[in-house]
Amino acid sequence: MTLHVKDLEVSLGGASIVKRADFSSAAGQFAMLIGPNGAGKSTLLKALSGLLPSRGHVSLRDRALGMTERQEAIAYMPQDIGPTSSLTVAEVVLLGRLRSLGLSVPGELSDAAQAALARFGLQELQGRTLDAISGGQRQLVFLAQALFRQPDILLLDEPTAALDLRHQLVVLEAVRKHCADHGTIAIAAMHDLTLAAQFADQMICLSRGRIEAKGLPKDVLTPDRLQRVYGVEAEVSYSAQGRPNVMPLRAS
Amino acid sequence: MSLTASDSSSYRTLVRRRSLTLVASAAVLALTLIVDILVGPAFLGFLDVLAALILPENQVDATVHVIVHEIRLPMTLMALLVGASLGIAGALMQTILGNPLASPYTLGFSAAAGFGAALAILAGFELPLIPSFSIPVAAALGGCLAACIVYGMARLRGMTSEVMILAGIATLFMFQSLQSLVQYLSAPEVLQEIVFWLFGSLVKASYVSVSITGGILVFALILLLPEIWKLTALRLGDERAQSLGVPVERLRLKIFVLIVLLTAGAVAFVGTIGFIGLVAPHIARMLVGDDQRVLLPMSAVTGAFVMAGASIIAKLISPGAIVPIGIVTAVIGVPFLFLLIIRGRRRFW
Repeated sequence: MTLHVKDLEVSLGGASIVKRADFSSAAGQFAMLIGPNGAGKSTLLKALSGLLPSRGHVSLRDRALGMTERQEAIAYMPQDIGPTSSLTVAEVVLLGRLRSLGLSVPGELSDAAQAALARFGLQELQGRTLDAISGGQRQLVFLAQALFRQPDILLLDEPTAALDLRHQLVVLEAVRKHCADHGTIAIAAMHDLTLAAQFADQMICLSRGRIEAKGLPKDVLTPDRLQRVYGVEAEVSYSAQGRPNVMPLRAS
Repeated sequence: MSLTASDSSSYRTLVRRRSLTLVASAAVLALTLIVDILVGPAFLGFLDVLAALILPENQVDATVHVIVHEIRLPMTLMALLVGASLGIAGALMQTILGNPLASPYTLGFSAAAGFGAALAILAGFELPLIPSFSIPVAAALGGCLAACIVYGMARLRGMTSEVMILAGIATLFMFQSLQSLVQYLSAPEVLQEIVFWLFGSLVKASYVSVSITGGILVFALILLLPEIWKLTALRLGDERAQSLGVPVERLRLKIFVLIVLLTAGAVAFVGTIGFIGLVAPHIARMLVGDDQRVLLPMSAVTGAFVMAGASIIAKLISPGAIVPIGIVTAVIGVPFLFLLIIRGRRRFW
């Protein structure tokens, strides 16, 4: 199973936001989408998920994905934590399998939802309402919902934005493991370049709506490119595993 | 991480508790409805009314039988159905628009129905074969006209909650002004009739109107069943609902049509009842949360409870007479809502 994106273009209000995006991602891969604010990361993810109209080709298993197919195959987690609601944590996760829900919830579905919550240590919160938990916990609940859907493709818009250091690692490890276990393709928009590089099988760098570079983190995260794309002078060192660590020095 | 038995049962316990709350509330409603039948300006004895309800017609005093079966029972059933319809319509409106202030009243449907009725009364409009339905039909048409205006605006600018709310509020002000104009142009005796209709009253309830309002309610419920979880998903916001596979705009349109039907079916026969569609869903949400499987029936129960309670008070305020129910609904609903806000730990939105 491979996701192919070819010549994907998105225009909003007459302005071209994403321009001729081309990339592929294989089953089980965790790709990180990086780029400065306004580069088009969120727009690209929304277009891939079918929430925004786009031109170009998106295919999975060599079959074109129309808008409806995309909503079935793809789970998308937006970066905002949504409106306050008195829905319980368990209900939010159950909604991940909307099509299987009837007037009564089958016991096995309910158990599976609780297992998804347990993965992030959230089982204690299952009866709590969304408005009674923290922003970070809410983000974890929505991630549990996305994994509970068991999608072919998982799109995450800044999944670690509201999380503390430990939970950032918990989330990214959980996504990586899910991809490895189920062959899911994950693409996450990230701002923390070192953290992204630590977990990425592939990195896609967007700048002003165009893909500036794609490939292994060590090939994408170079001082020259960081200067050009982010306007930042940075030092890049490498871990024992050859993963780049980015130390921003000054804005140029 | 492993799951313990108590972990895995806590959501089920919550669901069970909500179901019990719903059943208990329905029992309280049933008692309120019985009290509503027992109370009335004819000062009938408790046992007489009970006998008229239970025993065959030939074993009961004819006057008592007529009062109970031809006047009180239709009024009580109408209170039940109108309250339930408005409660559900309000809950649906708040859910699809993601706004706690949304209701068929605040979005102008009731004001437009009132305008339709007022215009029909002023013009002496009469339907050829069914003259007694002239005002209800005019009121329903008024409500539908308001819905068409709001929908038309939404079609032009997108079916978003912001557009619909803004268009609804503008529609409310427009039809309130038109209502005032009709009243200004009316002769005193016509004005009296219009004002009485606008107050809202159950006194004209009949088995025919009960059947129509009940039929619409059942029809709407059947169409709502397959959408229950999609409506719950809508509480997470449009974008998240859409990413879960909910066709947000199509769902909003379908539910909007059902709200119009429920509101028209309710206000056409009893007049403007403004408060229930707004407050019943809030009371229900505080008691059972946002899961629409329980919220919608609970909104129906709380709406019917407020309506039946208001009906009892309307009969008791002035002995020997019935005060229009639309005047009383807020009197019973507001203290109950305040009590829940003060004592409840749960947020109401």
